Amino acid sequence: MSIITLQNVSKTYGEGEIAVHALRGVDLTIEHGDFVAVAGPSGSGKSTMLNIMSGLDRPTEGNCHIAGTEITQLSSNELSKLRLEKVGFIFQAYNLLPVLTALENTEYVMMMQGVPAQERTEKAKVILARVGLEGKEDRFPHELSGGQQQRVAVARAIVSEPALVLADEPTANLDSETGYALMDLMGELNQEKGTTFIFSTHDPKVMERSNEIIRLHDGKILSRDKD
Amino acid sequence: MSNSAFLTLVRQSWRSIWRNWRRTLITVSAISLGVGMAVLFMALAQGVYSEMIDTAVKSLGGHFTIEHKDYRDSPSVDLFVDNAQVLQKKIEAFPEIKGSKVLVLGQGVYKSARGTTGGLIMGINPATEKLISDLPEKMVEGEYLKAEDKGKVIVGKTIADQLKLKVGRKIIVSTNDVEGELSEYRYRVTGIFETKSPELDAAVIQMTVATAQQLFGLEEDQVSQLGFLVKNPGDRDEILEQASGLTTTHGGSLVALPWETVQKELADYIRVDRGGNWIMQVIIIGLCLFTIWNTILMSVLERSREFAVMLALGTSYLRIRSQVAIESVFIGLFGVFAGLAWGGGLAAYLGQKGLDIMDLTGGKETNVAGFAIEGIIYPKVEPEFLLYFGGGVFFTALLMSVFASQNVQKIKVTDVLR
Repeated sequence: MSIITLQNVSKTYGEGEIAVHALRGVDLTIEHGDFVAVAGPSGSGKSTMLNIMSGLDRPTEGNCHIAGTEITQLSSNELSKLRLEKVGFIFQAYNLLPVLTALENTEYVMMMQGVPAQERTEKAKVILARVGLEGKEDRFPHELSGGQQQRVAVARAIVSEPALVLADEPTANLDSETGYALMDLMGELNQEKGTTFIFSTHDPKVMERSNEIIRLHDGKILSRDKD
Repeated sequence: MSNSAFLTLVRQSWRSIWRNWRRTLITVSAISLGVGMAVLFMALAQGVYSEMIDTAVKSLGGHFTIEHKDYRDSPSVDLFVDNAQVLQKKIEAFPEIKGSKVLVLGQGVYKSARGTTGGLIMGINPATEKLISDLPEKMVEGEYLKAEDKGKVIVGKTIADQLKLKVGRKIIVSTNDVEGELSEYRYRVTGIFETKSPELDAAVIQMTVATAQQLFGLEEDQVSQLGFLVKNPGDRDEILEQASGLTTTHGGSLVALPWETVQKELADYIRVDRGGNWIMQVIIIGLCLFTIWNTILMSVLERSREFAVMLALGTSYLRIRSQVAIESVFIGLFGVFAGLAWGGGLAAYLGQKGLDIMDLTGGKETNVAGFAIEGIIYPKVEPEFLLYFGGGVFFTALLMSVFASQNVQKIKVTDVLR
């Protein structure tokens, strides 16, 4: 069963002579439990594709389905709710909420979902331990290293067990060793929980660990390579 | 929203305001300074007003006055209150009444061997005046009137200077009596007062009620005004209404008037001055509110990435704006309470100790709207003012933060997170 379906999706920024075609008639299906890297040079449309898959951006043409829901016609609030329930995010720059501790950041999405306090704290502690941050629950982001912050971001993305995790260049700001460790961690979580991961990247480490690489160029899918 | 979610929201807001603690402190200080200054200035003004009103009601017609219904339009001695004692005793019996006075008033010309001037002749009861008026304490020569003083007057310092009068000298007072006939008597000056109020010092002479009644040809129970002082000025309107009811026994010829009508110039002055003060306060508070607006706006714009992440994670605009509003609540509360505390505290302290403004007024008593104000002002803090003013600033600040936080809606997540 597909978690993501893009049908003839195009995205154009600007109009007329200054129009930039970020995506051009993309058709794509990603199945539940896939561990996919979307690769390509800068400007190839990776981030735009992820933004459309998450409902943060709307396609100029075409349709996008997330877990069976066609999202292009949804309102901002409906999209917000869909993201809250179905999508986890990992950003390149970690993007933890600076005034919340590691534990509170991990709990944040569950709190928004209305998970009872005790249950979410227990879950957050378990997942933080799982990503190797046991004992660092009360630290604020600025008290953690880049790798540790990205682990918290991973914990935040997966703790509520979303159907889909979208990661925009998650290893870009990490050294090789930390980057490999993070990919291994996400790979394990993919295996354990069956969560679908889609990465945008041009990092060989990420592509190396992925089950499938979708290569983009000038807004079109150039190739799909499966293991 | 669950309790724990709300607590997290409050926690986020609290921690957010201390992320840039310098800006928070500057904003809190600005609000505190504005609110405190406004409170202090209003308390000072209120202290001055209270003193002016107090002086006016004690020296003249009391918190409310009963007089002939036409006396205001044409203050003439033939428009008097008849059977005054009965009415006075009835109203004096109200438990809220602190004291009362009878006044016989009329215009006259004063003459001595050295000159002529004119002014207001006041027939008063010396014993009552000693209890409720400050004038007996303003004697600079001689002594105040006694109940048994017949044929004696006290005069204002300026009159004494103009007519070259000294204690023991004679003064001739000419006026028209109730029949319109010329009435002229010779009196001996028993004292000279100086209130520092030009109007009083240059115009007023006082004599006993009986002496004035003789001068104006009034009978024993006929006076120009009955003045009443109330224990709590806040109760005045209620008592005035009751007193008004009692005047019907005089066939509708009498009216009970508040001091604001009797002392219209003073009331107008206070109203205009108070209006000016309010404008000043509004300007000060406007500057404070601009600071709040600026702070919240900066804080929203500066954290667009943080808010974009929250939006990407599925946070609603409402929740983010609520966070901004709670931050404003904290800043507003700190600022307002700090301002009320220092402004109100200082005003209350000065209200006890007094603020000596002698240096500011050239080392003399000052004069406002014809009433002398002592060199020491006792600011008056009104709890209702603190409540309404503090509450007003707080809620306006909150409202401004709601507008400032509208910028959250303009955040384009994909652009900010790119």
